[in-house]
Amino acid sequence: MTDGRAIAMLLEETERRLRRALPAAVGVEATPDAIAEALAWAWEHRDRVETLGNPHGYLYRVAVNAGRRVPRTPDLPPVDTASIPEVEPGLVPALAELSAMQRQCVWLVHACDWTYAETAEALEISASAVGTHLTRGMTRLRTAIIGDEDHG
Amino acid sequence: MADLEQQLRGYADQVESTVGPTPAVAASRNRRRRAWLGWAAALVVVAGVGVGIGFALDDDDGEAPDTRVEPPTTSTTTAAPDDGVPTTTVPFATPEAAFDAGPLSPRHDALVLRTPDEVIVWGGDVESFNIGRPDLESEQFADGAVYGLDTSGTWRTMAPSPLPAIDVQPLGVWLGSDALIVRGTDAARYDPAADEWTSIEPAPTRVWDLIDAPEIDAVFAVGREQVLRFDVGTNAWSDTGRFAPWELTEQNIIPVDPNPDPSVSWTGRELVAVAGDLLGRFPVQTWTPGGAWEARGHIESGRSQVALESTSVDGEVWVVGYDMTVHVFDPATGDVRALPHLPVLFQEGTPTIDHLDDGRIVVRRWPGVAVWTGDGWEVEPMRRAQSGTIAPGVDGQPAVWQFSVGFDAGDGNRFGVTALPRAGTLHEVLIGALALDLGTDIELVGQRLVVEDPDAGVRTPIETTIRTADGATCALAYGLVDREGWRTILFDSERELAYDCPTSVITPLVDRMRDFWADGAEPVTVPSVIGLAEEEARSALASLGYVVDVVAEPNAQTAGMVVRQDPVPGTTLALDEPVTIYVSSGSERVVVPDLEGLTLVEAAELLEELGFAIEGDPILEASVEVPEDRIVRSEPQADSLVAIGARIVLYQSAGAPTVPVPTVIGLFYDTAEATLRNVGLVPVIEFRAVPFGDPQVGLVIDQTPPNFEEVEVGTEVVVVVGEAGSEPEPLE
Repeated sequence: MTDGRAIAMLLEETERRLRRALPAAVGVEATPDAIAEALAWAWEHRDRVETLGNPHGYLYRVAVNAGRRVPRTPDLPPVDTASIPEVEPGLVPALAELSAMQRQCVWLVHACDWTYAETAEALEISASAVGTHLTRGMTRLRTAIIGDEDHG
Repeated sequence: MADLEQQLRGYADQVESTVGPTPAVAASRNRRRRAWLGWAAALVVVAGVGVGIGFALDDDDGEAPDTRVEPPTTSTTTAAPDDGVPTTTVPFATPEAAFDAGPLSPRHDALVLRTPDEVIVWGGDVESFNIGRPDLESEQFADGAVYGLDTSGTWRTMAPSPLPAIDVQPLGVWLGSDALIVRGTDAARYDPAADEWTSIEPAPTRVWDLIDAPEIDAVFAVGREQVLRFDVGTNAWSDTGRFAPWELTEQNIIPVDPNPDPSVSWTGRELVAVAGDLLGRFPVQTWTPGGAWEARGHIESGRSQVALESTSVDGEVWVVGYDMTVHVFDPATGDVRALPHLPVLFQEGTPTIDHLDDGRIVVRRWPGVAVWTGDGWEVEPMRRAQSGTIAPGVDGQPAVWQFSVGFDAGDGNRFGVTALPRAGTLHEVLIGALALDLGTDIELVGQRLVVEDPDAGVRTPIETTIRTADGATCALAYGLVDREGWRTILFDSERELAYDCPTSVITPLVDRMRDFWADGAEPVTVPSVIGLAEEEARSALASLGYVVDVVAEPNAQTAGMVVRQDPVPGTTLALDEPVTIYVSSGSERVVVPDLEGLTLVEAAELLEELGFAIEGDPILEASVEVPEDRIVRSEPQADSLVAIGARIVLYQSAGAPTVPVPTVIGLFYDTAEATLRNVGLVPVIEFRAVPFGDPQVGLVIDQTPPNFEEVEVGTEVVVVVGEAGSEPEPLE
């Protein structure tokens, strides 16, 4: 028998984490619906969800699948340089240039502080593959941003 | 500029703040089915939805789910898929059952309304998308025909209707001598005896359900925020007032919908509306003629259920949700009682509950029907057709018909049979669909559903089975029965292809289905074995007839525990498709053992056992503590955490190092001591008397071993220091 509150807390946590995690995969606009789909799924399958070792990673996958596809370039807002001057505006186009897998690895690990294991579950790849995508992604990001600075 | 990781975090903060609020679950789709929209949405496409009957899904907003299906195949033989599985479509050869094709063009979502001796079929539409023909124009119909039951299959076309041809499924209620038919807000009455339509005022709001209330000569029309009353005598609409505020459990995850789409029933004295609730407290409201909607407390079910169905039975209201527990609400007293739990859960999805004309109370959800016996539930397999779809003809063929039986199953678990253009069969399907609506067992039709055996030229029970090319959506159609026994049909609901399927595959599946009905066991989906030990998982899956593949992978969970499985639990799978279980091989990072003092062979064995590899030859290293040839240390060193399979460099003791003994003779003894210690030797001081005043007093006068001799570090070196003898007696 499921304790409704336990699953409620889990879903609350999921919702919070997915709000930050999903935009890099499905874009800002599609994120709320994707979360709703994942939560609906989780709610229906809550007995099963509670047995998952890594529910957030799994539900990330559900959410991305609910969106049917990972867009080539998700819609991400331009850097708000007024409120976060420390962020290089070239970061967003540079993120868009990454492969979907690299972008998600970079985003989940560095922007969302997910562990390799969580990221691996979310992307259905191995933890070492996360490391590989991450390294390549970060290298490309650095190159792109430094290049921007050189030109600027 | 901040470092890249900080920039990503900062930007993620910004992005997160721009994400819109999470909508009420599935608000974008079907409100009624929002809690299980996943497979419901799939079914709407796959089955094309029935002729507005049975479990036909109410796709409230008419929005087609974003899934594509292949166009219907146009002939009775279908192409073999790429995997070369022989393909056999099941043509239904029914010469004696060749019905009049009737006047109506193929359609679905039509009103199918029974009168005492006829069936009115009106309206409906063809959504090109739903029939897999996006190339066709979608079309809505406002025509209809009446089928005479007592004249055994004659049709007459209905007079032109005043109701619009719009993409809304029509609703109808038989009023005794004519029918009230509502489509959206438009309404009319149809008298089949005179074949006359009478236009009436449109309803003030869109109508989602009609409830007959003959006791007060009224029909209630359920809208989203209120219930309308249609007066049969005057054709006038009036409002019963707004619902009272729904006392739903506040949920900070999923916003509470103030208009929760209640299930409404008429008891003969009052309307009872019950709404689903995310924490299982279903608020109840009642309305009596002349009064207002009044909150009447809650049904405490303890199970979250959004979609409820209800029916009235002898003045009470029976409510069921997907957990298959029926609660009975007595509007006279406000009391609630729970009936014994249904013996099986059947599949997922909201069941329907109906109080049939013959007095039986039935709860239906694929694959079973539970009938109330007065003190418990009697379960029987569902033998009724759930839906039929009649799709437009293709390439000059008269029509494609698709007929789904018991398709109300879980995602990927779509059950049914699809048949292809065949003149004369169109009506058989329609009749099958009608049979459902009339509560007639599909067996009537099922016994005509036979396989044409091209070799023998005879009709035989269906033993050809149908399965998908990849086997993943292979499903059992278990509703079609003939007099000899069960028929089993598998079909590919995605591609609508039929396949030959080995008996070895189908037999255990059938057995399992029988067991399911016999024991009330779980339905045929892959169970979750996550968290079980490998052996438990194996036997659990094997007992269900699955082939099990085991893959070991590093994981933080205890070694030997199943950490994930493919396909995921709940998937329906053909029995020859393996279930892969991933068993933890233990933590991904392991501790390097302490190898000091072991022989090379011992160390190598230990490392191998733990999954390490040895990198190159051992490196010789002098060691004072570790005897020669034994292992001194490793790189990475003992107790460090490294990945399984890492390569370990071993350092083997070359024994203690040697040094040449320095020359200390002639040094002051403390200098000599320090000099020896500096090179790792151990000074041992001895004294030897020398004459008083001898210049050697306090100096080293001898050493053993002698200088320049090579000795092991740590060797004792005896140094002899001159010590003054006693002072000589003064001379006389």
